Amino acid sequence: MKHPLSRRFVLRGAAGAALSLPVLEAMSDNRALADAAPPKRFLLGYAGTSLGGSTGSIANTFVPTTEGANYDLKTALAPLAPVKNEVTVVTGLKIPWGTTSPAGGRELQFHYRSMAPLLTGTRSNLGAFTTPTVEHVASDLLGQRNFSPLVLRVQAASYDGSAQPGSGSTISYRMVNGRLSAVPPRFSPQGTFQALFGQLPTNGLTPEQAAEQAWLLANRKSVLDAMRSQYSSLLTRVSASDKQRLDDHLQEVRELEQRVAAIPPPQTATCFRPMDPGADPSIGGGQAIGSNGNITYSQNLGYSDEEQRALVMCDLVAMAITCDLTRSVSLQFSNVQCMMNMYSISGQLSDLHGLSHGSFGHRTEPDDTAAMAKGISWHMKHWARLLAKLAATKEGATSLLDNMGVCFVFEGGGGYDTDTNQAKGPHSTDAMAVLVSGGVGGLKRGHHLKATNLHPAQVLLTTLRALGATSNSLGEVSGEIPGLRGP
Amino acid sequence: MRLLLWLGVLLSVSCDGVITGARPQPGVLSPEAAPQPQPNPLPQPQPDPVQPEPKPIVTPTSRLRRLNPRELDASLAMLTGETHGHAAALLPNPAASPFDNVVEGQLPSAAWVEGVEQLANQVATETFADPARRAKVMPCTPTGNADLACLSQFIRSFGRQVLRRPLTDAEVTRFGSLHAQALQRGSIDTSLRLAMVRLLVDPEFHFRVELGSAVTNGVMTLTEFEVASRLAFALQGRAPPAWLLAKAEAGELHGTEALQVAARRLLDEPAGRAMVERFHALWLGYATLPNDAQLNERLFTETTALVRRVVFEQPGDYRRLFTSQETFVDAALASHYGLTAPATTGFGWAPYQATGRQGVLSHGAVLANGTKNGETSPTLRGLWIRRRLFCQEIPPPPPNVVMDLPPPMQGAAVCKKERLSAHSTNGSCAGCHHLMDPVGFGLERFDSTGKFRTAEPAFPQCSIDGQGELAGVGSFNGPAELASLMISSGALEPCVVKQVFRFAYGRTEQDEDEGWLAAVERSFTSSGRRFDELLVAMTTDEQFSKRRVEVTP
Repeated sequence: MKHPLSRRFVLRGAAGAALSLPVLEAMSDNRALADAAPPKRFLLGYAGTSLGGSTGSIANTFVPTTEGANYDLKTALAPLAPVKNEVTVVTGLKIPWGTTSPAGGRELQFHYRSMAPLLTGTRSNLGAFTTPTVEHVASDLLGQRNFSPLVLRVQAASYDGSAQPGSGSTISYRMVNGRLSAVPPRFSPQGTFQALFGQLPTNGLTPEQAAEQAWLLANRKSVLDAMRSQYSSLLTRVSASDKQRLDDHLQEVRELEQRVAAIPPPQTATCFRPMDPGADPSIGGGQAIGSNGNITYSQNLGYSDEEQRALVMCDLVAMAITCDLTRSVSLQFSNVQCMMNMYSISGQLSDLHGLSHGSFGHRTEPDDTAAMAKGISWHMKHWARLLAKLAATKEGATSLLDNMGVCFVFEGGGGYDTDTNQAKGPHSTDAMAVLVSGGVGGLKRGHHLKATNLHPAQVLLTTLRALGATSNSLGEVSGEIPGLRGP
Repeated sequence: MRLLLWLGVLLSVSCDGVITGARPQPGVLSPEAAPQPQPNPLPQPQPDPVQPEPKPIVTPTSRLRRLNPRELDASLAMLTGETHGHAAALLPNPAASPFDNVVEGQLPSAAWVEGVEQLANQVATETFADPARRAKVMPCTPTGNADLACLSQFIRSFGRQVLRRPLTDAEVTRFGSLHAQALQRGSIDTSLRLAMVRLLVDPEFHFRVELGSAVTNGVMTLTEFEVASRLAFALQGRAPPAWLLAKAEAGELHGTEALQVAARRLLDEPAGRAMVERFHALWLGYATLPNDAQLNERLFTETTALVRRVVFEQPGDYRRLFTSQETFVDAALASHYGLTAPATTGFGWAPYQATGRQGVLSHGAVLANGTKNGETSPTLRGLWIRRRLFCQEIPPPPPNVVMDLPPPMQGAAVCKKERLSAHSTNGSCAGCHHLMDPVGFGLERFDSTGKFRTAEPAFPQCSIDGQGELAGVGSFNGPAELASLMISSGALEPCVVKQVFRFAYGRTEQDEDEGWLAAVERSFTSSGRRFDELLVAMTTDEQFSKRRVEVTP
C-alpha cells in the first residue's frame, strides 16, 4: 500500500508552523487493518572490501562452484550456512570503466569511484555521487515510517585521517532542497537504541514504574518542543545567508520531535522494547598498522569493539523492522577502503584494507584472497544472524523475510584490476557479487546465479521491482537480472 | 594506498642509466657553535620586488558555523568539568583536511540532532550525579524543591556560559518553565537537570550565531559577546572563558588595545598553547602518524617541542620553525636520525650539524606526509609541500589516470626515477608534475620516518641522489636546502597567513579576501614574524570584529 505523503510535505506543514501531534495516523493505517497485506521492506548491507586480491582466487574462497539450488558455500560465505536457503549469491557482476566514466560506470582509478555506480546505478563523477542511493529510492517506494530510511554504520570511526576525508564513512545520499546531500549515518549503538526505542514503554512495569517512564517521556517531549521552538525563533533573527543552513537543521529537529511524538508501535510477542545495550564501547585511536609494515597491537588502535557494535546494530535493525518503525534500512558494516583493525575480529595482523595488500602488514594466510575471505566472513557471520532473526520473526502467516527484498553488496570484486592491469586484484569492479535475500515479488532464494558482466545495480533494481517499483532503471542502469525473480 | 593522490600510468619509457650522486653538501647555513636562543642566520634574502598596488580590504564573509565534536567537548569540559569526550563518541565528525572545523563538512542530519539530544542528557545526568561537577555549575545551594530563586540563578549563570551571552529575564523564565513538570515526580535536581538539557540543546550553543549590533552597507558589526566567541574559538578552540565574557559584559572588548590584551591572555592559557599545537599538527599533517606507536609518540614529541620553542618559549622569527639547527630527541630518536644523542637522559636538544637537516621539514612527523604503501612518493610529497607550505593548488590529473598505486615496474624501469619518468617526458603530464616530482625527489634521501638513506629499501641497486628542484626558484638537496629555498622565495609568509585564516574562518580564502590577508601579512612581517603576533594581529584587526553579510547564499 503506497502512502502518497512526502515526508518533507508532512513535516514542513504550512509556512513551517508547528504541526499538531500525533500526525502519523496516515502512516499507521497499515497496522490497523488486520487483513491487509504485510508491508514490504528493503534492507541493504555493505562491506568495505573487495572479494579477492592479486594472489589466490575467489573461485576458491567465494564463488560457489555449483550453479542453481543447493550451491556450495566457500570459506568467505561459510557463516551463511544456517541461512543458506535464504541467500541467493549473484556472481560475475561488473561495473564498467573507462578513461571517463561510461554510463553506470567509473573512471579507471578504483578507490571510491565504484561507490556511486554500485549504490545508485549512476556513473562516478570523480568519486562523487550525483543521484540518491538505493535505500532512499526504496524508502520513497515503500511508504513513510518513523525512519525513512534508517541509515546506520557499525564501524565507529575512520581510523585514518587521509584519503578523501569523511567520504568513506558515508554511503547514503539523498535529495534535500533540490541538492544531493550526504547522509551521515548513526554510528552510536546507544544513540540508535534511544532513537528507535527510547519512547517505547517497557513491558511488565508496575503502575508506579510505568508512570515514571511516562513522565520521563513527557519531559523528553517538552525538551524537544522547546528545542524546536528555539530554532524557529532564531530562524527569524539570523541574516539571510544563515537562514537556509539553520532551517535545514530545524527540519532535523522537527523530524526528531515527530519521531518521538509518534504513537509507539503496539507491543506484541515479536515487537517490544529491546534491552538497553548500555554504554557504547569506547572509540579507538588511529590506525593500528604502520604503512611501512610496523604494527602495534594495542586493542585500542583502529578498533572500537565493532564486534559488539555489529551485534547491537543488527539486533536494532531486526527489531526496528519488526515494529514497522522503518521499511528501508542501509546498514554499513565497514568504511570504504576500511582501515579497521582486524586483529580482535579475526586474529589477523592487518586492517581490513591491508588484507588485500599482503605486501604490507604481516600475513599468516596462504595468499591475499584467503586473507580477505576471513574479513568477508566476519561480515557474513553478522549478516547470517540478522537474516536468521528476520526469517524467524512471524508477521501474520509469513515471516518478515518473506516480504522483504534484501541485498548485501561489497565495495569491489575480484577480477580485472584496473590499477595494476592484472587479471585479478582488489582494485576491481569485475567479478563482483551481491547477496540477495527475501521472498518478495518472486525473488529467488537459496540459489547461485551467474550474471556474468551484468551490473550489480541491476540486482538492486530487480529487488526494487520485486518490491513493487515500476521503473525499469536505477540511475543509468536498466534491466533486471534474468532468473533472479520468478519460478 | 593511503593518500589518494596521483601517480601516472607508466608508459613504456626507459631512461638511460641511474644517476648516482655524492653525499649532500652541507646546507647554506653553517651550524652554530652552541645552541643559543638567537634566531638562526637566514639565507641572504632576495631584494624586495616592486610592491604592487595593495588590494582593497573587504570584510570577510562567515557562514553559520557549527561547533565540531572537539570544540563541544573542550567547551563542556570548561563548563562542567566533564572530560569523557562524549561529543566525539556521539556526533558525526567530519575528517580533517587539514582542518576539522570546515563549514562545508557540517551537514545537518538525523544522526547529528539525535546526538545533540543524547549529549545534553548524558552531560546533565553526569554533572548532577557528581558532587564536584555539580558544585562547579551551581552558584547556589537549593533550600528545597520550591527554591525557584536558585533555579533562576543557576539558569542565568550557567546559561550565560552556554549561550555565550547574558540571558534576558524572559529567557531565564523560559528555560526554567519545566519546573512544575519536573516536580511531579522529581525534585529540584530534576528541574535543574532539565534546565541544563534545554540549554545544551539550544542552537546558540551548537552554532556560533552572529546577529550583530548593526548592519551597514552589508557589513555587520559584531557584538562584544560575539567577538569574545570569535577570539576564543580561534585562539583556544572552545567557548570563551568566564573572564572573557565578563570583559564583553563590561563593554571592555572593543578597540585594538583591549582586544590585544584579551587575545594575548587567551594564547597564554594552556588551552591557547594547545590550540597552537593542534593547528600545527593539523596543518603539517602529524595529528595522526602511520608508524608504530612508540615511534609516533617520539616524533610527535619532537615536533611539538619545536613548535613550542618557536612560538612560546623563545618567541621570535617564525621562520626558525624551518631553520632550527637542533631538534628535540631522546637517544632512540637521535640514533634513528643518525644524530649524537642529547647530553641529558630522556629528551633534549641535539644539534643537526652537517646532516643536511634543518627545521621541521627534517622531522619524521612531517616527512611522513606523501607516503604510499610505506614508501615515499616524490609526487605526493611534492604535492603536499606545494599545498601546505606554498598554498598552491595543482589541477587534478585527467580522469584516465590511476593514482591508487605507484607506477608498476616495466622492463628496465625499476628505480623510482625511471618509474616516474613519464611524468617528466610526457608533455601533458610534465606541465603539472614538474611542480611536484622534483620537490619530492629532493627529499628522497629521507624516508617516511625521516631516516636518512642513499638507496631505495626495496631495490638496493637503486641509489638515491636526493637532487631536487623548486621550479622557478632553484635546485636543492635535502630538507635543509629546501627550507632555505622556500624562505628565500618569500612564499612561506603569505601561505602561513592563509592557513591561519582557513583555520580561523573554517573556509578557504576567496579573491575578495586577498586585500585583508595582505594587510595581515604586513603586520606579521613588521612584527618580526612572530607567530603569536600573527594570531593576535588577525583576531584583533577591525575586520575580525565584523562580518560581511551576503544577500544571497
